[in-house]
Amino acid sequence: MGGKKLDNTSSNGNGTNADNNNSNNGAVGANSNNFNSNPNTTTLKITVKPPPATIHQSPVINLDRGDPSVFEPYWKKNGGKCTITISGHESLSYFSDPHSVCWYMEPELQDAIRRVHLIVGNARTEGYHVVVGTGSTILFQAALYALSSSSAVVAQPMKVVCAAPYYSQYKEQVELLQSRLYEWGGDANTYDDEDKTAPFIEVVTSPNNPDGSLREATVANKTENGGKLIHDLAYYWPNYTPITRPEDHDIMLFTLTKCTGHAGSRIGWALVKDVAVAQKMTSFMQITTIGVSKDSQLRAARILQVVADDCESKAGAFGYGGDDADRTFFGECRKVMAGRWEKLREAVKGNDVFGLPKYPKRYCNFSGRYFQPAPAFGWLECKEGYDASALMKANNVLTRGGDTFGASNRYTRISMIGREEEFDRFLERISGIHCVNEDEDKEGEEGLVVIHDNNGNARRGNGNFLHEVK
Amino acid sequence: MGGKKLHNHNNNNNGAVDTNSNNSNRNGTTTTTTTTVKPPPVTLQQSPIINLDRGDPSVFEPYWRKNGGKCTITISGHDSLSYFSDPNSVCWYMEPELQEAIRRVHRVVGNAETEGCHVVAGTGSTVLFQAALYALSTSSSSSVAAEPMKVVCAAPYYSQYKEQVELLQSRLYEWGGDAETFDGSAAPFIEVVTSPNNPDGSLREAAVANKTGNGKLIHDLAYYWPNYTPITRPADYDIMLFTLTKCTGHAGSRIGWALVKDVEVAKKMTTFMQITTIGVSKDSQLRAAKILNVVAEDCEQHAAGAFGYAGNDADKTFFGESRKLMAERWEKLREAVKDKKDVFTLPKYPKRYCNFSGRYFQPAPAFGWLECKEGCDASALMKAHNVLTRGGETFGVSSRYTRISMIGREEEFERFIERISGIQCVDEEDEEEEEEEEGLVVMNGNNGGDVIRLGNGTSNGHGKWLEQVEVQ
Repeated sequence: MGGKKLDNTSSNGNGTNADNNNSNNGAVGANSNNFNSNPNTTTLKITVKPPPATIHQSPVINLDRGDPSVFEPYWKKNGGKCTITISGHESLSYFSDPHSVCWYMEPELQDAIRRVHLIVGNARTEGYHVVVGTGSTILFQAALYALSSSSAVVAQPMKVVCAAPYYSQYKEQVELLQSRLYEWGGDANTYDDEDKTAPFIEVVTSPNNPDGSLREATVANKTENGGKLIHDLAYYWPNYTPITRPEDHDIMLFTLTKCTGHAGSRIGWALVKDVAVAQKMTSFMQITTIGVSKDSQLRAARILQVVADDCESKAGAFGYGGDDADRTFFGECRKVMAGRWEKLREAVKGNDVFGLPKYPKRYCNFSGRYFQPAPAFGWLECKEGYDASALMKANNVLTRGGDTFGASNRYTRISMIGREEEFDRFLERISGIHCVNEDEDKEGEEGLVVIHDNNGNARRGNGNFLHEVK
Repeated sequence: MGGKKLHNHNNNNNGAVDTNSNNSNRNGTTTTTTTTVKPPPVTLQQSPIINLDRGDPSVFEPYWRKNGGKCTITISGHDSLSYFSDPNSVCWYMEPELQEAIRRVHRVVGNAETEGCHVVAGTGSTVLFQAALYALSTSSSSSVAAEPMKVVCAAPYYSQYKEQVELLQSRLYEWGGDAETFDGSAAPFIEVVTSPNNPDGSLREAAVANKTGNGKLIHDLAYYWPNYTPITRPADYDIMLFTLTKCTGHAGSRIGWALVKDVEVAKKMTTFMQITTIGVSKDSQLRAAKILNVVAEDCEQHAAGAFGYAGNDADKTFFGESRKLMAERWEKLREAVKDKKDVFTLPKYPKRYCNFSGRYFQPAPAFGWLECKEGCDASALMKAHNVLTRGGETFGVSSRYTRISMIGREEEFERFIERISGIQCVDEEDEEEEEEEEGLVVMNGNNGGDVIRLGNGTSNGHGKWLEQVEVQ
């Protein structure tokens, strides 16, 4: 049958109009691996009940970005201990520690970093050099520089790969200055360099952004040459995921932003095994920003020490009992995250439209209990044929579509770490999305149709959440 | 005569090696050119090393120890959690307080026109320089460029520009060297104008960008403050870079800002900052805002009415007190080398009228650009006296020059004055008598490679600042 349901508020002759301005900031991937590719079907129709007409007056809920507002209530309550005072004559100099490889790093911050890793047990620090950055983003770039500029003669730019779905910003960072030292090589899963001796860099994000999965290197361990590895462990903290063992990789990146929520301080750090790599990363930081804000370093040191003190006071040495760990910063935040995930799963349980990843429970050494990961982002999957971020957009919810992560646009990434009020509003909104059975589908009724068609008839674009169907 | 004088110090010099000096004596018949400086006392080796190579602004510390209380800020645990500061601004991560303080201090000092400019904050001005390179080399007019855009600057230029340009071997832009010898007619290019200049303190205009239509300008005005130089007018260029480090001395906060006329350039610079560091530390932004407001208020209180400062009043401001400090240091330095005109010269800076200070004064730049006599390797000479400086080659000029920090600690500066005062020249006629005496010889020779030039390191590796001289 050829019933086509279009929402009349947006269609015109060529069906490419959208009601809302396009503010999607992702790249458009025109081909998805997961489209229904039955050549006999000219159209694929799934009808979702239209949102109420008033939806467009509802506030836009922006869950596209990872601003960690979820931790604010904790810090409003407990932030007093972290208060620092900086007077006019402090932190004048560029220099902090002439004896350290990372000469601009405040010794207090290095001590605090090592201490918190020891207590949480999420990374080894013995034998490692610490390099501090203005967030971990720039340390990622410092690591690329260190790894790609060390080889004596580089004929080709070094490929940088990451298993899809990968963090949307890596590609952007790699390609920013069109460096001759390195270039984006795409999905590590499909990376196959004919010249097996060509060095490359693999980025392993674990837990992963966007889908929360725990990961190992995909290709770096398999080639003879052995790719060089950068491990981005931004979310490997017990507020999101069980700590199963201390990680022990060559380069491990962490950021205060995702650990405690203090994004505005712009503090990240790298644990680096190889001193030559640490020196090169420090050089990179020297040339780009002549180090890192001392005000923020001192603040971060204080915050991390407060968190560490809190953890230690609640359980003696290590080996936390379940209840004790629950009362720490990590424990309280874990409960908040768990609560949000429970609500989200509940909200999508009834309908046929959405799916969420399943995360098996694991034992967390820090928390002293088994629990299911509750990642910082929800990796929402939509039923075949849907453009997930467009569907969310139609309901005035901004999310980040799968294509920017190298995946199908059936997926979209939703922030789980925003403000409480905004998250509750989102749950309400997503709870209201229901499928309509095909038999119920009444011709002539206004409907919201999100369609993808392999025949090239339907056009999908950033922000076009309605398509005319031929 | 074949007197070869060697002094056996260890070399821990950290400079680049340049085996050819433009100013070597080119007299083909003379095998060596000798300028002899009396040897430093043997005990010098045990004297502490005075490091004047870098620009750490410790000179302002006494002022802030005395007056820093007003700048105290308190940051509690729940402050500054978010990435975002000002969704209505192009530079969305910039705290509104900081933007206001920046505009205010420029208005009060009168060193830059901010009306109609967008402000972009950075982790120091270094990264803003790189953001500007990115913005200018990726703008629509250069998007189809096959070749990387050349980045030029008139020598002597700040030693770090080249390093920053070449860091990632970008295809977008590349170092083009000395603006004075650059042909700007071929393709779009970027010219960096540093005024006052680092290293030589001179006031500058664009060397080549104004001659062709192709040049885009970046003005680095890090030292255009009345503690160093007279403020003759508000600067008014397309992109102007400033840094808290050199303005007030708070290098550790890592705060710089750009005043940008073109909104598209400002957006691109913001994008660059987003991709590299997702903005700038809010703790430091708030601190910088406090410091700049305290400075601005202090200036306004001492003003005779609105702007238009009388001489005495301006002297009591932060800028006025710092200016006096800098002036004193320069006086001492000139005094110390007065009797050594055969070896050393310093640049002369004409007095100009400063609108802020309400007086004429001579610039007292943050760095001393020491020139040595023909044949001298200036930084090697300084090194022989246990003073670390940064040699001219890193600034694109002869090793006869070396750059000396004038903004370090007071004790260290005093020690340096003592050290440089102790350098004595020996006339050439006297030299014969002293053949047997151990001496310090600083030479540049040009006789086919037999004489190795004393420089930062040597052609055969680091660690030697004195070379054995073969005399033909």
